[in-house]
Formats: sequence, C-alpha cells, structure tokens
Amino acid sequence: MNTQLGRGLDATANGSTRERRQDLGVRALGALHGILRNGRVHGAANGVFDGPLATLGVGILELVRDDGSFELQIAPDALFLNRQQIRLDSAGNALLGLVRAETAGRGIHGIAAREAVPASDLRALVSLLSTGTASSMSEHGDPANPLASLRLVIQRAAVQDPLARSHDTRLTDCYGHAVLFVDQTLLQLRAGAQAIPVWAASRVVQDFVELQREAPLRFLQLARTKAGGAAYWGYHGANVAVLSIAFGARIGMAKRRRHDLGMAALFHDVGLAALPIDLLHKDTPLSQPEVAAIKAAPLFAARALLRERDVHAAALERAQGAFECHLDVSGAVPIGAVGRVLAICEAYDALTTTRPQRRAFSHLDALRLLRTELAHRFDRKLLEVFPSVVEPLA
Amino acid sequence: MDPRQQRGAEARQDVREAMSALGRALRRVSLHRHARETHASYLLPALRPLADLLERRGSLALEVSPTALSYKGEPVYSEPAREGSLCFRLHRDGVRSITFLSGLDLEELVSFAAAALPDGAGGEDSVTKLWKAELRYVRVGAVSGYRLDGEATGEAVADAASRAKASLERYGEGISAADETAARALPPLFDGTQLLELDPQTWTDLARRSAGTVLRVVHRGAAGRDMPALAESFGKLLDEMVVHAETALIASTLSALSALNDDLRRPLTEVLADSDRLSRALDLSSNRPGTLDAAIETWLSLLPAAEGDLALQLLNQRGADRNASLLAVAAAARFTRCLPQIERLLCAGPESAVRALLGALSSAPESARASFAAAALGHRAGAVRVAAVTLLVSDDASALAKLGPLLEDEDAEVRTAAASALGGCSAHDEVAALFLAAIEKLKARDASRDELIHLHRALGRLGTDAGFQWLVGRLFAGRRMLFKKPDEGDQLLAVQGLVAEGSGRAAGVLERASEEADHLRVGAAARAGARMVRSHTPPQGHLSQVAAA
Repeated sequence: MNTQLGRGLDATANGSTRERRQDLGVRALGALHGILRNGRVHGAANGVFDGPLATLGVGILELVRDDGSFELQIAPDALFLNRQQIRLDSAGNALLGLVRAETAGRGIHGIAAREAVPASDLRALVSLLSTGTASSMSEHGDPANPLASLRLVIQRAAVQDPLARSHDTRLTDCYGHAVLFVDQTLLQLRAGAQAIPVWAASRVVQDFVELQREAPLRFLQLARTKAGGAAYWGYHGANVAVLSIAFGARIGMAKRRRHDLGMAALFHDVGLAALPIDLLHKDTPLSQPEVAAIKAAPLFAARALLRERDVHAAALERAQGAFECHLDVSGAVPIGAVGRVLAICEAYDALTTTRPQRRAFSHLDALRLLRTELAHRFDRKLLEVFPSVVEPLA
Repeated sequence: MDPRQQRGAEARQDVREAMSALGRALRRVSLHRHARETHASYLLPALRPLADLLERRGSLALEVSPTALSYKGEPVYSEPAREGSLCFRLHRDGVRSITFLSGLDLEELVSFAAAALPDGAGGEDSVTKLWKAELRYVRVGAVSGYRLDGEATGEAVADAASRAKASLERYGEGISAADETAARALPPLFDGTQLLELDPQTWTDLARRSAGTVLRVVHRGAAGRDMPALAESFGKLLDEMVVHAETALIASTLSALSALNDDLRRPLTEVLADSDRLSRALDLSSNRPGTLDAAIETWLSLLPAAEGDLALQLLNQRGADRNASLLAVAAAARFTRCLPQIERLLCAGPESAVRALLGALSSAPESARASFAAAALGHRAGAVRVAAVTLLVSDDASALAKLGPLLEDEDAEVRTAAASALGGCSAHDEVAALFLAAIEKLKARDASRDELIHLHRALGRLGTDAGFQWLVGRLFAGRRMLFKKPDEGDQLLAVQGLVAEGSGRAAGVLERASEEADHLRVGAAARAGARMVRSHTPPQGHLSQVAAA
C-alpha cells in the first residue's frame, strides 16, 4: 500500500485525542467559571486569573496543534469542544448552567482560535467576560481593543424547530446539511482534524427518512441538485443518500433500514480523504499506481468507519455499505443489501453528474449504461426495479 | 391549601407513584439488560399504574435532566449522573422531554426501555434508537438542529440549500399534493419474500462480512495508525460472536486471521490475549462440546509469545475443562517466557492442570524437561509425580540422579514409573546397581509382586552384563545350594527379566532353563519366554548379541 495514502486518517487515528479533548473541555469549563466568579471582584490583571488563563492557553495550544483549531461552543444545553460534545457529570452540568447564563448575557457563546493565543488576548477575555455587553460585542471582542488571535462565538447557531418550517424549507435545509456533512467530514479527515460526530449525521438522515415518507416525489427531486469541482463529493454523498432512501422505501424496507442506507450513503466516499486531492480532480487518464490508489479508497472508507470501535449492527452496516458499494456484486467479496442498493444509486448519481473527464449522461443514457456495460457490477433484481424508482427524475 | 393547589398536589402524587413503579422496573431491566425475554415481566407491574394515570390524564410529559425525570419541575425519578444512567444518557444524547400517551401497552413499554436504557456495549445514540423504535405512545422531544452550523459552514449549508431549492422549484413545480398521496400509496416493488432474500439482516452474515473487512484492511496494509482501533473493533466483533454463540463464524474468522502473515496479524492477535474474552470463548466451548475445539486451538496458537502465563492462568482455573490440554499446549509452546509460572503450577497447581501441562511439556527440550519434572516431583499428588517421571530423560546423568532416589519413593506407582523410565537407559551399570539395590530392599520390605516384576523387567530391558548375570544367577541360584529346590518365585521373576532383555543370550539361558528347571512352572515360563524372545529378535541382532555376550 502506498505510504502516501491515508495520511489524513493517520493524523486522526489516535483514540486518545478524543479523551484528551474531553479532558480539555472539562478543564476549559472550570477555567471559564473561575474567570467569571473572580471577575466580579478582581481586575483583569489580578494574579487570581493566572491559573485559569494558563489552563485555557494550554488547551488552545494543544488542540490547535492536534486538530488545527480550538472551538469551545457553549450551547444551550451542552458544551462542545471542536464539535465533540463534552460529557459532564451533575456538578459539571451545574457549572455549565452558571457559565452559560453569564456568557450568554454578554453575547458570548464560545471562544475559538486557529493559532496560539497571546497572553494579551487571554487577559482581554477576562475583561470581556467580566464587563462586556452584548450590544458592543463582536467576534473580535471590544471593537475599540480588538483581540489579535482569539475569536468569540458571538451568535449561537440558529436552532430552528424543523416542524415549524415548510416542507420544502425542511427539505432544502436538511439537504444542505447533508452536503455540508459529507464535505466537512472529507475535509476534516483530509486535514487530520476531528470529524463531525456520527450522531449529527444520524439526525440529518432521520429527517431525510421522515421527509421522504411525507412527500416522496419532491424528496426525490433533491437528487437533481448537482455540483462539480471540489464541491462534487458533498452533493454526490447527499444525492446517494436521497436516492438510496427513496429506493429503500420503494422496495419496502423498514424505516430503520432506510436510515442505515442513508447513513452508509453519506459516508460511502470517506475513503477518498486518503487520496491526494489532485487525483480526484484529474481529467487525464490515470496511471497504474493512481488506479490502484483509487481502488484502495473503499478500504480506507471501511477503515475510517471501523476505527470508531463501534460494532453494533448499525455501525457495521454503515462501514460495510460504504465499503461494499464500490465492489462488483459478481466478485469474491460477499455484498449485503445496503451495499447493493448503494452501488446502483452511487453509479446513477455519478453518471448523471458532469465529471472532469466527461459530461453528465442523461437519465435515460445513465439507466442504459447501468443495465448494459455496468450491469455485472449490480444486483440483477434491484437493477430491474431501479428505473421505476427514479422514474420521477426522467 | 385551595382546591386548585390540592388537585395539583394530588396529580403530582399520582405521577410520583406511577414513575416510582416505572423507575423500579427500569432499574431491574437495566440490571438484566441482556435477558431480553425477562423485560416484559419486569415492566408489567409498572404498566398498570402508568396506564391508569394516562387514561385519566391523556398524556404525561416529563422533562429530562442529567439526573432526573421531572414532572412540572419536580423530580419524579432520580438517579446519579453516571455514564450508565438512563437520564444522563438521554440528556447527553439530546433528549429533553418524554411524553407518554394514553394507549401505552406492554409491548411499547418494552420497546421504549430497550431503546432508552444504556446497553453497556455502546450503540447508537438514544435519540436515534428511540426514533428507530417507531413508538406510537411515547413522544420524544430532542434538541433541535444538527449542530453542524458555524461561521463558515452556515454559508456552505445556505449554498447547498439554495441549489436544492432551485431544483425543487424547477422540477417539483408540477408535483401536486395528489401526486404525493398517490406516490405514498404505491405498493412496495418487492414482496416480503423478495425483500427477505435481498436483505435477510442476519447478524451472522453482517459480522462475517465485517470481520472480513477488518482483515482485508489489515492484509492490504491500509490500517496505518488506526491499527489499534481496528484491532479493538475486531476484538469486540469476536466478543459479539461469542455472545451469539456463533461457533462456526468464530472458527472461520480465526482461520482467516491465521492466514495473514505474522507481522500483519500481530496487532490483531493481541486482542486474543484478553483474559475475559478468551474465558468466555472457553466457556462457550465447554457448553457446546466439540463445536469450537478447532477454533480454540487456533485462538491459542495465535496468542502472542509473551502470553504463556495467560494460558497458564486459565489452565490453573480450568484444569478439568475439555480445553485444558489445548491451554497446556499453548503454555508449553511459550515456556521460555513463563518458566517461573510453569514451575509454580507444576509444583502446586491442581492435579488435572498439572498433568495436562506435563503432557504438553513432553516436547520441550531435554534440559527444560528435567527442571519441569523436578518441579512436578514436588507435587503432593502421586499421579502428578508419576507423570513427572516420564519427563526425565533416562540417559541423562541428572535424570539418573533424579530417578534413582525415586526407586525408594513412598508411592509404589512412582517407584514403578521411575523403574520404567530408568529401564529405558542404554546399558548402564550404574542403573543396574540401582535396580539391584532396590530389588533387595523391596524384598526385604516384602513388597508387592507386581512391583518386583516391574523392577526385574526394567533390569532386563536395561541389557547390562551385570544385570544379565544377576538374573541368570537368580534363575539357577538354588541348584548350587545343598540340593535344595530354588525359590520358584525368584526364578519366575528372573524369567520375566530375561524375557524383557529380549536378547539372544537371554533366549539361550531361557532355553536351558526350560530343560533344567526344578519347577514345572518355571520350565514352562522359560520355554514360553524363549519362544517369545526368538520370535521377536532379528537374526543379525540375535547373533551379534550372542557374540557380544
């Protein structure tokens, strides 16, 4: 195996990083609480802040080094550090409540940095947390005395009640998040940063399944949304999820099984994070080693998913589906139902999208190709019924 | 208290009582998480008060905090904030409210418990599990939003959403509500049989494919720095296979693992050395005799070289198990890394374990065998000491030093075993002298005839001149003593020894004795012995031995 492959995956391989993030998150919360408590009676220059600021500084330094960034997000009901939810005990939850009440009152919903933070920024944070006001707050802190490297999360991400919005808005919002999920996962794996937690994708897919059930025809139209270039993979992943959930519903699969399909679809190309980006956008014929590298991508997908150390059925289906959908059904490796459904949906979406080396095929041409030249790759019975599933896309 | 307050207090009391019963039931279910068939019986007592309450009220909405389920701000079910607690897990995963609706039945309550309670083995988040459970009478309120949003990502979502919106506007315009209704009403394209054929959803098949994928990733050298994580996943898969009693799957997985080359498979074999994991597999093997033997053998053969003491530790606990000999072989194959532990077990371990280990150690090098035998000879059980004797090499000087004293052991079986072992030496006068001394002592002690036979045979097998002369002397000794008939017993013992020597010279002596014996029985025995020796001695050997004699 080419040693150049999978460097991004290697960078995130250390399981201890997750525990470290948990530890740093708890410490950061304690430090913020210390600053807020003492900020009522002491000036920012007071030595009482040295300890909490050092804790924050070390945490920032460590995560900037390991993850490429530090982002502590104080959500209404949880604490996130670099998108990882920090587990808190009852005392920690009480502490979070106090910190959240104080910081939210000053318009601050977290802190972030992409490089080491100078001591002056940390001291300024003390002032902002002690005396800042929501109206004057910007991501750089006090506009009169802006922070150099540290950034404030000043507006909590809008959390909307999905049910309160129209069906189409929910469809497009959910689709947008699915695209983002795939994009960010690839990006973060490639950069060696912490990937978005799986449960976040699970919510997106749950909504996909519900939306498909409510309006199957409009839902399927989402798969017509295409993008080229670097954006392709995000849209491709989301489209495969849409197609496979619709396919699963049409052949009578249960809700939980459609969820498995959607999850595997979103993850099915994560193995590409192991490949050089130039290779993915190459518009000239591939060399032998390049073909070998592309063929290895499914194994990297399996690796990226199996390293989560989860062996419950849904996690295994996710990993197997992502791996097996790239294989020929007539090959030596046995392929499960998720992989079989995904393989057809994946090929259909790829064919109907313009790629660097060719233009998009029409719906009918894509179906013809699937049933002729590429037929050996797919499950025969599924292939027979697939045209009726995607008929609304004709 | 005004009537409204009074009603409120009564309502809270009703809820507390119903939730108290539910709490007790959930705790029992939690304690017996894997005994799914018992859950319904645990939850049944809680259903009646809860169902009655729901019938009166229509619904019951509870807020979820990390330590409690609360009704109108007042905790009605509390527990510590621990990883394995119901409330903590629900809250951590984003569940903020649970609403029970009138109509709740036992089946639904069991499904709710299965989805909501932590199962210890990981799994999906509780929001997903509750959603998948498709509960009709339990509504779950979770934190909304996907938490993917951020400064830059918000724009990316908006961009993708606007493209999707454009698709919907362009292609979804002509889709009416009636079209959607018709689409929803379409029958499935596959019937139940077809769907089952496509998607049997068997855990065995999924686990087989998953284990195969892990091995494939490792085999292709694609594991990189994720190897420890993949190894852990592989170990957990094996655990699940054991839990599901998938003996054939375990066997095929281990067989595939053993087919990988040493370097690649090493990190995966380390998970095989987990004591609890291996113990569970051994339990399964004991409970399903014969179905897992080959797999256990492979499992043990794949243990890292440093894990001999693990095999010993399990052997110590499971000496009487059907797999004891396999554990012993695994320990013996790694004896260089666990010498002190082996000697300790040989000296003081359970008899069955020590005997299994001694059997396995017979293939160890001679020098090691001597020290193992020495350790086992200190064991209190005679059967162990007998087995230990067989480990000593008779030609070795140190073996003589060890076996010699055993001819005087208090246990007859040990003495006999030592004699047999010493009898295997090539001609050795020192050994013959030991035998002769032992025979004299035994006779003086009036020992059993069987033991004397054994010693005479051993002496004969030794084939020394001194031994031969002594036996001949015993056979004919009485003839020179004042015409008194020689002792028949002694002569018969001498015949036994000469037959055991099996040489031409012995045959000659026996033939002579058959003609000259004073006792009929001795003559008959000598004749039979001579025939036996002649028929088993090859001519060349016969002649050369005669010449040598």
